[in-house]
Amino acid sequence: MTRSLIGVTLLVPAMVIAEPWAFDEPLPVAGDGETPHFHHLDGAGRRHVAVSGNDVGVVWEDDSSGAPQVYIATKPRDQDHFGAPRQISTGAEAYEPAIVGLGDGRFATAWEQDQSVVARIVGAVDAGALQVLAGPGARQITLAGDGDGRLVAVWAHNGGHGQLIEAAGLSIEGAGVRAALQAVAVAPLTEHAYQGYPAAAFNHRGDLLIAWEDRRAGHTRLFHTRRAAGQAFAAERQLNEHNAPPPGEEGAGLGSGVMRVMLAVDGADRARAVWLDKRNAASGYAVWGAASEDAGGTFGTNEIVQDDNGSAVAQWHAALTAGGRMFVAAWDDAREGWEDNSETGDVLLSWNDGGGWSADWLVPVASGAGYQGSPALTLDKRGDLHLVWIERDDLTSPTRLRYAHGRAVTSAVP
Amino acid sequence: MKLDPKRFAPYLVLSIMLPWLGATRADPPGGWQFLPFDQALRKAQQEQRRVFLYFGRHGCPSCEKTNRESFSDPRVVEHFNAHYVLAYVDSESGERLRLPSGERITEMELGVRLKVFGTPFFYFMEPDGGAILRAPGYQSADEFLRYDRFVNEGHYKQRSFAEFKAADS
Repeated sequence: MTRSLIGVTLLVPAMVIAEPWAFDEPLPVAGDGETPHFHHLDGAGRRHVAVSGNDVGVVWEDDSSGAPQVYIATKPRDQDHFGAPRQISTGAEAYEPAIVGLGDGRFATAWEQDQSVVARIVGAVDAGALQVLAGPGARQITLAGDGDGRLVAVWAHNGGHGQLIEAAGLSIEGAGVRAALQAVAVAPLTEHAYQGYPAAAFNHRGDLLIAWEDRRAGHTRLFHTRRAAGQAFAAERQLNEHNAPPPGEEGAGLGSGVMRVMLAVDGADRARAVWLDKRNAASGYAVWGAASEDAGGTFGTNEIVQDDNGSAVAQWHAALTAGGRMFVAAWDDAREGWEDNSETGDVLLSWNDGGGWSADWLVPVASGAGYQGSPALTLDKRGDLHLVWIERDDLTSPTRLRYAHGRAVTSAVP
Repeated sequence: MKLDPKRFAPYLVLSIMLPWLGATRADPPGGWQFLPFDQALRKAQQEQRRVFLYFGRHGCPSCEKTNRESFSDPRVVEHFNAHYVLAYVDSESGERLRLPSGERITEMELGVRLKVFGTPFFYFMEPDGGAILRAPGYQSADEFLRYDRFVNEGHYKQRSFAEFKAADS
């Protein structure tokens, strides 16, 4: 009996710690110098880290030059330090970058710069010419690539008659990048147009999936669409289930709040969307999502991503990635600091291999005293997880940018 | 205090019109001089006035109720316009602000920093941005007027709001 109990006791931790990744010690990316400044990982779609061939690239915005500018740092995947940050923006101010790997050690990057959205191809040591994709009023750009030559930029553009989501396929010629065709509106509107914060991904058929925020109804809703190669965008579909008082009751026609949708497609051509959703008003935003089993054509019933341990606090900065037969969502919340104002945020993960979302995992290397948050992540072809986040002593102090390599635990990765 | 009807006529007209002000009806109420948070903070420091910060959200039912029922009250309009620099933040917005530290963040991120878990959410601040009082959720006109007495008359320097409220009832 005693031996059985000991056996059970020893077995339980082994089951509890069956997380799919073992993280290396975190590496500094930027912000460890003597001059304090502020880093941000706040681009549409939260694509701030990517793998290309054997290299890892991270993009962010900071004010170390005296004005907000966009930077990249890269490293070979098994090297224990990043190269010095390189400024890749060229204007007076730049914000909200995105990055995707091109598979050959180079990265496609894009960001907002001086009221325009721009793109640039960047390698480990060099960078191509900067290309303006859309002029005044363009912002909130994100990128999607399929690793097989398809590359698209999607952004929000306010041309004076409301803000619309536009998309343009990109072609790479040598070290340069340009829009292959004129940008097109994803879901044209004629009245009350206010679309923003797009997310984009390719499925394995080559279809482009896009999701975004839409305010035309007087509250924010999420929509999605799909475009097959050479075709027009399909009719938009609403992604989030609307939660508001019914007609005739106070507040009818208004909404409960959703924002910052993310999209990803796994190796089995399943798509997932996650976003911040305030349908449970008392605890603030939570991470919700929806699943598509038809490669992003339609999404099913909304499901909560986080577990009940986070239900009493707000979740922020949700991010999503996919690879193999795995989706991974990340966000930050302060559940570990309940009534402790010095504990302001930690990075948490949940993963989904086709069933439900896992119990939340407090990332060991991105939690503890102070603030660790605003995560972004990507899975590589080996199933390894590459995670970046912002670290600061408290919510007002200068920031540091951190990275950790989560190595796949073979038995746990589908 | 006796109210002068002529003085409040414009506000009364606005309050009557509020329910018909269009699709963005949960945005800041008409008739109020709300500024972006960073502009309001600069103005507050220049004028050494306190800040009243309204965290709203596009399409927020309780914000709409507050706008319609409380911010249309002529007493609230008068007192808050007179006593505070007014700031409005859309808690889902990507519009950018510059904090006193020099950091540029979005309006949404300001909500993260100030732990705004829902809307509406009201903040009274010192001219330098220091917190005086947080009031989450719908508040009636009378509750706003009580907050105003607590803050504007300086009671917060001597006692908690709970103590003030007990004595004020």
